[in-house]
Amino acid sequence: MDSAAASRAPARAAEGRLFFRRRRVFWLLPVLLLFLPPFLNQYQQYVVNTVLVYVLVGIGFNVVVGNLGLLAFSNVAYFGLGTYGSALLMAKLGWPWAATVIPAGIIGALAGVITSIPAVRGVRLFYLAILTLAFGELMRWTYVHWESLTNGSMGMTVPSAAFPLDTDRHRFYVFLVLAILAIVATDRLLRSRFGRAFEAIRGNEVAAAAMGIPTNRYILLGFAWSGFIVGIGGAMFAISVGQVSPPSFNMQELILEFAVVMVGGLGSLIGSVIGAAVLTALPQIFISFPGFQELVFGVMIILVLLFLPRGLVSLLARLSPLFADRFYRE
Amino acid sequence: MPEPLLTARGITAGYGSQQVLFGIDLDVYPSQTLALLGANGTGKSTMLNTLSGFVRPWSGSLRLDNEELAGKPAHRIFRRGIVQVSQGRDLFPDMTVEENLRLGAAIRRGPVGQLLDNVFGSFPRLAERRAQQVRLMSGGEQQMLAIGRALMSQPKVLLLDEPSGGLAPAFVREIATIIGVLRSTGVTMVLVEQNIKLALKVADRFLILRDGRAFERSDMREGAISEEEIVRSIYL
Ligand SMILES: Nc1ncnc2c1ncn2[C@@H]1O[C@H](COP(=O)(O)OP(=O)(O)OP(=O)(O)O)[C@@H](O)[C@H]1O
Ligand SMILES: [Mg+2]
Repeated sequence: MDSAAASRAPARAAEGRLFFRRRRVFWLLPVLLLFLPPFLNQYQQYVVNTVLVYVLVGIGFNVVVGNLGLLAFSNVAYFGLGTYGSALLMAKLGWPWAATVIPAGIIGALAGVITSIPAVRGVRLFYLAILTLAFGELMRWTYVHWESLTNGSMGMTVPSAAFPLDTDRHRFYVFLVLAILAIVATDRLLRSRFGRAFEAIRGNEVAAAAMGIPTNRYILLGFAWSGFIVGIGGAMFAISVGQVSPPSFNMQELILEFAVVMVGGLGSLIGSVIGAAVLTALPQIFISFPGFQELVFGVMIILVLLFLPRGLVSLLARLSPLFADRFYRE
Repeated sequence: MPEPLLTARGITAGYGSQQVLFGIDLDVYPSQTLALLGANGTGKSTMLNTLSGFVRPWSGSLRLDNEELAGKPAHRIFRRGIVQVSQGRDLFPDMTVEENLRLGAAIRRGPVGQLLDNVFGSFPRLAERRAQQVRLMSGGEQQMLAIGRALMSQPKVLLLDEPSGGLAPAFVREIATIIGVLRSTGVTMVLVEQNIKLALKVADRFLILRDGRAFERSDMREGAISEEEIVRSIYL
């Protein structure tokens, strides 16, 4: 809210111009990350790249479930369509990967608009959840059965790309730039009147409409934005894994994506970034213990939901108000 | 008599196949208060919701400043200046008092500080609680907030649906005072009230609904009508 910002303003002035008390301190993180690759082996680099993919997947999903507050679960469909879209443009039309990034986002955004239709027509809660889940499953069914295009359940190979997309280490820098762009753009969106409208809709939809906010328009826009960001994440995923197959977009994937948002902190942009990092990287530590990964994953979700219902970001918000973005509430 | 600011002609409306309003006419004059009275379930809220666009009329005309608004979506009608404080108050429970008030001016561009000061000036109770979460406020305080928030948008016509509903007598008096002050500062209002004493005190004109129709002796002028007469025309 404006008002939250306004009431924090005097405090901020009192804090002075200390670099570490201001939001731009966050820029230190990507700068430090630039120096990370030399310390990583190829596998670790791949994991870090996957974290960056899930940063986009998480912040996109969060716009719908966290900021708009709608129980819509088509996120995996946006992700899958972005992935297949990018992979097919490369494999069938011979496009360079870079040229497929925005189209993958647009495909995701279109899927966002389509899946917003029930919500715009007033479908909520359970019914919205089931309809949007069904859309995701329908897409997975399509990847499996449209064999002439997708090579079905065998999966399709993504053509290898030239510099700077040839190695995990090189891709990392490209992914980092995309992740930063996605974060900054989404942050801008959420701080604009769009974000205020999202928050009003989440708070009380009827009241939002009663305040002159065209709620349907904003709901459609939120879904489209979500699909756009997640679709771009799909393009990153395609080039990163090199092999695309339908099981990557199943229910288990949805649970992972939902957990990224929940564990990080529902509604918080920073939270989604943290959730992506923790849930993508942490299970890798236990990779050599088969079955243990899922266990760790499940226990994490339970612990966070029980003891930190506002997500991991609420721990950081206790340390510094920098982490309490406008969507963070006690 | 000046030109009416808001006029409704032949409004019919309902839910599904159930008709609730059977051709309502009303006129609201600038800086006056029209009280809409009637027994439970006669369609008072439905009429207000039709004026604010939350219920789409089946037929009829609704004009504000000679602009036809019937059938327009609620957010458009709000932008034209018809602002409703609904029976359920429709606040944002997880937000603070100030955040709720600021959302009242959400569609306005530019600074809202002056508006906020005005509202806090007329509602000292809200000023004391500006950072409080709305969920934790009493019903009366919430009612004040709902009225204050509506004023943030500087409405041309303010629609109030049972502002005294469910409140303790002390709060009812306070709300009555507030409505009186609004009227004296020239705010145009349509007021639905079960509390006839309150309605008599603040209204310039009355419209009585019975089963979705305007009662024949409606539109009675102040002074010419007693509480008893109103009660009789509502219920008998
Ligand atoms: N959303 C709705 N869906 C279906 N029927 C409704 C709805 N709202 C109201 N009704 C019906 O319309 C009729 C008029 O209701 P309305 O709320 O307009 O009455 P009212 O005069 O405001 O009553 P009260 O004094 O109890 O607030 C009632 O029979 C009610 O059951
Ligand atoms: Mg009513």
